[in-house]
Amino acid sequence: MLTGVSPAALAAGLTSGLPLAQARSLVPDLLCAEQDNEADNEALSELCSWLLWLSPLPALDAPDGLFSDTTGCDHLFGGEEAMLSLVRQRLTERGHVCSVALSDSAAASRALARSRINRVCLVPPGQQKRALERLPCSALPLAEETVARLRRLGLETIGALADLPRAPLAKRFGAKLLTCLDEALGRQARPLNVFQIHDRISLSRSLVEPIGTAEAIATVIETLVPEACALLSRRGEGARQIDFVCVRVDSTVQAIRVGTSDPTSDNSRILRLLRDQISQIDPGFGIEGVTLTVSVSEPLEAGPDRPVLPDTDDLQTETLPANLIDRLMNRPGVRAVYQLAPRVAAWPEEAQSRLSPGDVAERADARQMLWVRPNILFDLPVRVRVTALLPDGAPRQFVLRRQTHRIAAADGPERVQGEWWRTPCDYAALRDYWQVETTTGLRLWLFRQGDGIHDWSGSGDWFLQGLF
Amino acid sequence: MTSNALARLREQVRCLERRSLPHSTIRMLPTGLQPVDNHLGGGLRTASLHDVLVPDALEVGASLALLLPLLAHSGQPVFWLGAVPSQLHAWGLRQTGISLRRLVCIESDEASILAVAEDILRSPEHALVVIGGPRVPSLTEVRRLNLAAEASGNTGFFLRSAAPSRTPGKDPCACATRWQVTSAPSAPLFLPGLAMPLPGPRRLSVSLLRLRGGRPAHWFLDCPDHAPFSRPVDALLAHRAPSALTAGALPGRASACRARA
Repeated sequence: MLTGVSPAALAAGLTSGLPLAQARSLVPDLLCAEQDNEADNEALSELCSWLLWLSPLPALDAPDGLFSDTTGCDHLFGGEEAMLSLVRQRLTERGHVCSVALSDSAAASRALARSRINRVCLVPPGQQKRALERLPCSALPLAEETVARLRRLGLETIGALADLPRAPLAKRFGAKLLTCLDEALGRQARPLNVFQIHDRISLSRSLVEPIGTAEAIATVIETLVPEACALLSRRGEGARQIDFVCVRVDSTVQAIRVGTSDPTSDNSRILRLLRDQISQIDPGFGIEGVTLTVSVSEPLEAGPDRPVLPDTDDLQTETLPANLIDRLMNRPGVRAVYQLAPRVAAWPEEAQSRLSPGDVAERADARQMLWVRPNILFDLPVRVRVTALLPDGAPRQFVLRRQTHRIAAADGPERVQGEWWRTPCDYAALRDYWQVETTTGLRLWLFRQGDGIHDWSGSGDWFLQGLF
Repeated sequence: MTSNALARLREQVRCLERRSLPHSTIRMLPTGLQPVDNHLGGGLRTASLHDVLVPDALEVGASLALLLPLLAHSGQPVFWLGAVPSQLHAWGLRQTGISLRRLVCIESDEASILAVAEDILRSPEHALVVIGGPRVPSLTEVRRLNLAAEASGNTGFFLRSAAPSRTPGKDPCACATRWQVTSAPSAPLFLPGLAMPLPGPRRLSVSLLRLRGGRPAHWFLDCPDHAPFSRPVDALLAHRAPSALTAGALPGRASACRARA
């Protein structure tokens, strides 16, 4: 079923509501895309928030319409006509085909706009009835069957409907039809459900005297943060990223940004994070204005209930100290904060990944690692000279940095194949890993590139890759 | 508000109990090596600093063999702090029994390592911190970290390389303990059909160079959690081929692997 058609398709005789097979038989090379309601709604909400330039009261008319209460706004754009053409022009620039209508009542504008594609329609005050007279009843937001029954009775236009006595109409079709009619003709007003923009929390202060000391900045932060936290908790949200922007007297901007590892609206925690960053602000000749913006926020999830009196002996916690990690991540001087997670990969140096704290999950297949792995692993294996008994035999001694280590015990080999499906240089690449113990007791992880016989499997050089 | 009142109450109770420190109990972190634990009276003290000297870069493994089981059993988040990437390997740590979800690695620049360490030690949330790197902290710095650790009850470990030319452990030390752990040759396991013997249980030469309020000591210890074979014996005998394991056999094997580190 077609739910929407482009002007070109309309010209070819397609209308919405047509079955797809029929439409394809009419236009064999029809380009069609599956309808995605969620994306449509999202795009419409976005368009609605874009429409804020026109008036502060936009409203949604799902699935494909927008209202805007422009009362008292037209003079800003040079009159109603200029305003409508501007709306149309801007929408066209954004790539939309639109029809725009302005009248006294929202329902009349809706009916007018929906009955003509790609037009601008301006109804002078009090003239809705004349404008609507010619329109078909289907332009009103009525149920399909009501429209069909009206048509069967010969009531094709809204004008014909409006001329009929009201009582029999209400008796026959119910009060809803009359309500629709009255709203369209402006006899009854229906409030618009004005779109609420989900905006950021942003608090600004202009300062009477420029400030420059760390204490003064801390005081300003202390006044702003509780307010922001109150706003956040009223929304049921927690901040993930907070920007604190200072405008200096020479109208340059100093900004600091802190992030948290989980959404928080905790006053003291945010205060502490911001206070740690004060040293990063260069006040210059003084700061005359500040803005605190919660630039990223997320819904606050109720965590697991903590006992009121936590047992101090019970230190077995799986959770990370979020407060501490936040502070470390934002601390100047700290280059990276991460957690390690095992990964399945052929070469051991690629077999772990770094994740941001809190993201590590226990892998189900991690238990299947049957082979012993060292605690310390060199990303770049160190080359060593090894004396081995046979090409296939265990290493007997090796030379590392001009020092000879004799091997007392060895366990191996563990043969590891390269990921031949990834890169051609890994094709047929082999490594034989040995876990060895030297005569002094050092436990090392050595490997030989290749199987020691065939050149294609590797060079046969030995490397030290890990320490047990 | 309620939690505030409770915190105040708890504080008062602590004062009544005449604890000199704000956190109530000194706990011990058992090393899992029986003679060492006996000597220390249960293990390494929390709320203090411990100094582990690594005489040679290749000997890090021996120190880790002492430290990692201790960290794994503590059940607290572990922060691994250093100026260079830690070179820790996730698979190996996993086999040691450390929960990777509780291990956080931090890289900071050389100058601010101790400041970061102090932040972690001072935090009211429980944490253990391992401070890596070659740097020898001065007495003042260590005392400062000590105060932080005592105030919060967190524990710090220095894992630092000490040049072999210097007499080890003679420089002044404000830590609760100072260790030097090196590996010692183990008793290898001779099996028929193998050119080389298999490594036996890992043997450590543990020297406790300093102990505040105690005597230094030295032990040769076998790591108790050693699995004799990395594979089942039948696989070793059958031309050393790794055996095909059924799914039910996996848990036992996994614990065997873990013990090897």
